[in-house]
Amino acid sequence: MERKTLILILLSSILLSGCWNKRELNELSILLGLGVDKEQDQYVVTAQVVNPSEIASKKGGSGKAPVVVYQSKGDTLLEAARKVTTAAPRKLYFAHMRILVFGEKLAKEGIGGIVDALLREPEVRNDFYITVAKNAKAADVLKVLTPLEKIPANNLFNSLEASAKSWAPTEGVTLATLVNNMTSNGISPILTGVEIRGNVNEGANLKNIERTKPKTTLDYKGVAIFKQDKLIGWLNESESRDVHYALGKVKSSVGNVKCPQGGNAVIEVMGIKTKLAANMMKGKPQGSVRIKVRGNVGEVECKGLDLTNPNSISYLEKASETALKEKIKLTIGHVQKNYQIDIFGFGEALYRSEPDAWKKYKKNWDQTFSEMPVTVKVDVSIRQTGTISNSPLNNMK
Amino acid sequence: MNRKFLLLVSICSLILLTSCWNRRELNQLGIVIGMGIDKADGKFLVTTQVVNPSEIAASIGSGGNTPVVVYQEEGTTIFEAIRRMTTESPRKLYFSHLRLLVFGEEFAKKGIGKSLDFLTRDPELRTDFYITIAKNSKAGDVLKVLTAIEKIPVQQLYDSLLTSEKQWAPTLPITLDQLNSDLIDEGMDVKLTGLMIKGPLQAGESLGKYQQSQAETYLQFDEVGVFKKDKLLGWLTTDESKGLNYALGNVKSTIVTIPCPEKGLASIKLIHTKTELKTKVSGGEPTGNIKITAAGKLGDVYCKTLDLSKPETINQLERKAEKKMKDNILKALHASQKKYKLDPFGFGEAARRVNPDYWHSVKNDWQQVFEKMPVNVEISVKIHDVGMIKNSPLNLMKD
Amino acid sequence: MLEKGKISSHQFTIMIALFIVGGSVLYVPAGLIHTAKQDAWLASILVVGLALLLVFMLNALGSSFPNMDFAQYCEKVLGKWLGKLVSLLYFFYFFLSTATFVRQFGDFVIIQLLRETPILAVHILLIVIMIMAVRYGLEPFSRAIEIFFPFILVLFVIFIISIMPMIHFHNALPILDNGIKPVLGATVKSLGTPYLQLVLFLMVFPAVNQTKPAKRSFLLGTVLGGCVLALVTLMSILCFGAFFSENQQFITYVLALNINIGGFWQRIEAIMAFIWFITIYIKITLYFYGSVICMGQILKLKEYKSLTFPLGFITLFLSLIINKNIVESDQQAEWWTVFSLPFGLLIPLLLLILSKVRKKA
Repeated sequence: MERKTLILILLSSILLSGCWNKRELNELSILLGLGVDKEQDQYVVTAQVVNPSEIASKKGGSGKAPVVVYQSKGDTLLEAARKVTTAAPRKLYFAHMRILVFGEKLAKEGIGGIVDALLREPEVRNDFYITVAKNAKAADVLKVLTPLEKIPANNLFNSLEASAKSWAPTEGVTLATLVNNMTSNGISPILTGVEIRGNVNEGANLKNIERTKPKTTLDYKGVAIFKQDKLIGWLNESESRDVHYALGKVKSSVGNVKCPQGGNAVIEVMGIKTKLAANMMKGKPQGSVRIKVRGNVGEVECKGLDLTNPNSISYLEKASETALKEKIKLTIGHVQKNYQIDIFGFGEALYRSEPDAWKKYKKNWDQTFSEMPVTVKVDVSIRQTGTISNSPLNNMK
Repeated sequence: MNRKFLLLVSICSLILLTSCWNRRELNQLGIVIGMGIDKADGKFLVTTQVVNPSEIAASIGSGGNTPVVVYQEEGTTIFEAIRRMTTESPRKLYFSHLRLLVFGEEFAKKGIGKSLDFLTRDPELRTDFYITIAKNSKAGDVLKVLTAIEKIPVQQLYDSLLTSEKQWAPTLPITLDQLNSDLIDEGMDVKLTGLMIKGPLQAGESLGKYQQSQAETYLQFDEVGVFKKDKLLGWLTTDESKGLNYALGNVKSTIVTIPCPEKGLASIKLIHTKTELKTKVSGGEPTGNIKITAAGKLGDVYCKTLDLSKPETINQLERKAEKKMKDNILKALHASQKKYKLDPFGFGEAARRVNPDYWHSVKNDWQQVFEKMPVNVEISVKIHDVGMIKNSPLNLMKD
Repeated sequence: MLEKGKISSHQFTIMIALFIVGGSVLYVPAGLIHTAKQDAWLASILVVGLALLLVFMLNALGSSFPNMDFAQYCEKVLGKWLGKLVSLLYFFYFFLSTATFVRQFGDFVIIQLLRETPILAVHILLIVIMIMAVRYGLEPFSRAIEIFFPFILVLFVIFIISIMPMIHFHNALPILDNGIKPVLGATVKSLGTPYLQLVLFLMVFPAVNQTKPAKRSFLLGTVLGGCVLALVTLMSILCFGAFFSENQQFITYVLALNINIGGFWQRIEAIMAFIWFITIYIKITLYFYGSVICMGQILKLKEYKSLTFPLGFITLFLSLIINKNIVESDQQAEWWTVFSLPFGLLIPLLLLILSKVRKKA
């Protein structure tokens, strides 16, 4: 018995001597935003790290920036990230990363290596969003302080999520989606762009968020089109919205319709169902997009539209159908003509519906895509007209 | 009996409990956490970073003052300068909590030996603080720069030195004990890590910098400086510093960047390393031996040419990592043997340990012997795994 | 019989199911998807059918010698020396498997959880509790499994429900794009890991208190374990698509990592880790138990406990050198099927035929 106890004690003293890679909370720099740029041949890593004493809510901040930004250069992402420790007191901890920003220059040269690094690293999870800094360095984007959310990276994450839900031209892309689209023949990746509006240096100062309207802000603008892992061009805001309609990524949005006698009516999109397909027609691939929109009348800025009359509702439906259809067609045509790259995934759709035909086109799909006819069908049904039926404008004499 | 005992106790208490001669109450002390030593007109210029207690106490919301106060005084001796500080400071300076000692580069070039006597002799100083050199600047200036994550700048530097040694490798945390032994030891030369101020100094001193997300001025540990006796002779580059650190067995974990076949890079994360540094003497000729065994993981890949489903690829990567590490060590050896003619590796010390007789015969001109000594570097790297994914997404991209 | 304890048929079912899930749940899906792409789930269902045939055969063999373990009737059927030789081969097979799975355990822990810990430390911990369980004997061990089973079941159900929102059915399309060939290839591969390993249970079979329900339990356990594997494979394909899944080291764990429902039901990958730890521990212990008993029978020992420590130490050593790195471990999975074939199928079949012929004669 005593011997057993002794052995137990001996064993525990050997085995329970603490962990090799324990990571205490106060020994970690919690990284929330990661920016990657390229300068000459080196990667520049920008890490937005929580300043713990400023975030702890009880004390009320003492007027210091809620985040600290560290920067370092290296031949690879890992090297640069490790080098940060020469200036930061703690090791960078990636598991809470919210946003990854690629500098535009890096995106043009190719992001594949960075994606590899992040996929390979066990500390990195798949729940952050990826964006591209438009006309800017990722480093500058991460320096800008933001109101409402104390931590800019959280702000970027949340506003991307919120605007993807209710505005549509943006979409939160995660690592898994990006790598799937990057390596697939039948679809090319797109990433939402983020733009700095205003001066970076002013935005990096706490004074920026002491105003009700900050001088420098971060805005999501358009989407970046990638060919495999290289950025080849941008779509503007309205084009991006059309792309997201076609991809079925829109949850809700608003759209304008012209009234018969001038002025605009606004349709609030409540729900949307998209079917994107590709089939073989007479031996040639053909794409089709069918969109079903469920909407409300959100705002009427015109006289002479009697909303109690079912005809005007059907007028609005027809008008918005054609408007949306034309726009989406135009954007698809624009992508086909100017970028010749299938960001919609018609290729994957073709693979799913006609795998045998796909084998023939697989090699040169982007070429085929750019010449492929695409039909767009939009079906709008308006259910509600809001809490008032007729516009007050109608009653004005 | 009882009375006698009581009397004895009371008399003893009278003598023993009269309070202490040199009691030091906490609120009468200025706790020094960082000290810098520079030379000014043949005198010592001593800078101390002292904690500002009301700003550090956690429960009270701080009042917007700096968390530390910096005092600077001159003196013909360090002791004098420190005592002179009380003319400025309301409290007596207390050195037991010193975390970091910084030598100015100018001062280090002229020799740090003189200052070490006070630092070692004073009973209040412990020997567990780290020592660095302010590269391209004065020690005083380094101690004026404020930092963000840790409130106390010196605390941040202390942590950063420890973390970067563990995670990055080209920095060396050296304590007073080690400095002293390196200095006395003829077979081992002194080396200290450099600390640089990045950005304009003025911006670093004021609290205004806290309001920036990215500080305009910050401190960064840099390369390792090598000393001849107590005088700073020059700096090793990052690669050389890393090599020196590999050889000294200080590296726990670091990144080794290696080239892919054709073009592109990949990095290996080392997770642990074991180093043996030996000097063999045969026929009166010494040979140095450095043997390193390291375990690592593949960290990231920036090329299409690696097929990670084949064990041969891992083999190749291991050989390349070994070569890269060996290159670093050879660079460091070259710099110390040919450029500086110094032995920061401690090959002399290693020789003394195995062959004291031989050592006594060469110790007086060890530098010349070391200069010509051949050194074998033997490295074996084992890659355990390739991380969460198998092949790189770059491989999967069709052209 | 070296084993004195008796287990119920219910415990036998659970043991078989968890044995099949153990280890395989993390490693098998990626391999299958690599071979059969988005049709891998078909293969993982097909293979259960094949496995049932295999189990019928094993059942027939086991029930012809209801009171003897495999090593014993090896000797009886094949004669003393040839029998001992075959038993010895089986000992090596079981023992090598023990080390392989210990290494698999270590690899996962080192890659995913304790990234800077020496693998030796992880292996020591595991092997200590493995030896402990075998020394206690089969009866207490199966009772422990019985206690764990409901937890594992509930956690697995939670896991499957939690990943439901990530499903995209179009990831499974088109079905049978590359024809049936890759599916059959994957089926055969999947038969090797884990189903051919079921031969191990011929060492446990005589310990089940009744022979007839034991046969049913064997079948039921196989189906249960097979369903779990099929479900996990299907889910990997539906959630991430074949392309992403096949390139992942531990796709099932990545599934768990990605669980995020409403921003609060997230970071619960520990569920998966728990399921995996318990099941692979069961697998390793059973393999070790099998090799210890096998050795005990060969040496005609009165009790087997004296073997546990020396064999445990050798396992530790073997597990460290069996593969140099994870890439070699992945390679091993490729040829292991072929290696297992004589042990899992051919020799038992031969024994069955021989014993039937002998009986008739």
